[in-house]
Amino acid sequence: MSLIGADTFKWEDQDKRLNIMFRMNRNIKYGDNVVVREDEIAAFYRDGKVLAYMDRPDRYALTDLNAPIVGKLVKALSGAQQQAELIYLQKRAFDGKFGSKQPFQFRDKEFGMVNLRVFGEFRYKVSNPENFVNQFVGTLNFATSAEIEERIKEQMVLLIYAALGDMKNQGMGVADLASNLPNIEQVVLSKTNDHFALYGVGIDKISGLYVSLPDEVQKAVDTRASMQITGTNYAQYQSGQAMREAASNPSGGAAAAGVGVGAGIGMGYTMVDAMRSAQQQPAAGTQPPAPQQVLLCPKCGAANDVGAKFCNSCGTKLIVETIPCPKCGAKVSPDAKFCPECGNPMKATKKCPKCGTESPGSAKFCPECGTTF
Amino acid sequence: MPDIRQKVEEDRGLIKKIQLMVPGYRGYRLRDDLRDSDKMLRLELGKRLALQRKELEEFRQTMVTNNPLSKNLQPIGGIINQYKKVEGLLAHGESGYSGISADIRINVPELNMLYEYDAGMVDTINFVEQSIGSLRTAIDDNDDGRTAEQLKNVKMRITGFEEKFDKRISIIMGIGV
Repeated sequence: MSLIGADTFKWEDQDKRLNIMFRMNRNIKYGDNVVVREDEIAAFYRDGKVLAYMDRPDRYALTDLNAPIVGKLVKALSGAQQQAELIYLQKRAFDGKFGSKQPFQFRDKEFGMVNLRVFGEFRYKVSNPENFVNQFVGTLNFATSAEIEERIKEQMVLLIYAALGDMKNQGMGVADLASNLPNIEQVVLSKTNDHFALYGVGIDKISGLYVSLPDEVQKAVDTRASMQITGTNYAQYQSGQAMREAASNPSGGAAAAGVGVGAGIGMGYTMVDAMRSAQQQPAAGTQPPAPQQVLLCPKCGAANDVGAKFCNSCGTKLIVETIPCPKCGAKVSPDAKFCPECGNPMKATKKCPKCGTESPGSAKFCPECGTTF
Repeated sequence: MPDIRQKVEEDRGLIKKIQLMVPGYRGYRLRDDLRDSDKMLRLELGKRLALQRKELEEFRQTMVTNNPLSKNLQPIGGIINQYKKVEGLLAHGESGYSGISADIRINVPELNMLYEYDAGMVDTINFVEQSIGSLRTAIDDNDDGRTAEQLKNVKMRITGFEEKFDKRISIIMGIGV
């Protein structure tokens, strides 16, 4: 400190870390020097008015009336002491993560109503120090990047949902989502300016965007992709799958493997026949099959053979699997949250290692912060 | 348009007059009065923009009533948010300051230039207002195509205003390129 009480300040690294802003913790005196680095902006306020935003790296000597003679004279005569403050802001970009809490219902032409969840990362920085300090940090009293991210991430999810809605109206379907992720990122980026610029925050980049589909839809999308690659229809594809499954499950030994292949081929033909017969119209005069012999697809309503595992029209899985209740052993639907016999909770939950939010056992990402499990 | 600088000068009270006679205080007082005048002027400009924004909010209400599925609702929302951003820039803009031994000084003549530059922004606000008039006609006619066109026009003009305001300090310091 000098004879007149002035000093040189800089934003110490230990105060910096994840703080997006820092207010100097003393009244600035006449001649105080402040160092502004490449990655910083300093806002100098005197009597509540902003005089300058110092965004060039340099050392600045500040002036005010907290000077040795004039300041003391003013204070002695009027009791008034000028208030001079300095606020530092970080210019560098911060990374945040977002993830949807609630699924977005996407009405798809091929797959019907599909629940989507989105996860990803965004990069943001202070775009207008004027609005950031006065309207965002000043009003909401936020100082850390975590608080700012919390504010942004819910909005990001909504913007992505809006972008998906817009792109759906232009003909994008669920099966096109993966190939359109870079486009979705750009659509969302173009919308962020209207939402965040007024707070002085700019979204630089969206990366790692992932739109998660429900398992059954994902399987159906994969099946369709495989069918397109192999140039087969659904019945051919399924018979091929059945053969492969049977062949890969021999009881042991070369002879048994041969039996397995034979059984697989046999089963495949049986399935094709079953599907074909289900698709054929009943001949005139013959009795239609009894209702209990036909399994209706829960998705498209097509009639299927009782033993069929998949719908011959849309490929939806027909056999409902059950899992045993860990407490009483009763057979329970895998979707059930509680055992209908003893009321034991069925779904195991896992805790996010980052934010501590409880998620379903099947979750791949934390619905709160998007952390990968 | 009244010259706020003159009004501030005329209305100096006894304490301010004494301050003007104190060595070391006079320069501070003169510069701070100019900064205050400029701040008052900017707040007035901000109020003009706020009135335009209110009008845009009424247009949005009309559009919601006439055609809630209009594709113009999103752009008008964006423009309203841009107005809020520019109002913030006007209210919290730099007052014009240089510290001890600065590379380029901002003294009384520069502060006067800054005031005049800001006063000149009134013309730009009037220019933006003209486009809002055309937008009003398009919305009253319920013409979605023309509304979209006029919205683009308003956006272009308010962006022009923002760009002009952004350049004020570098222009009065003589470093604008």
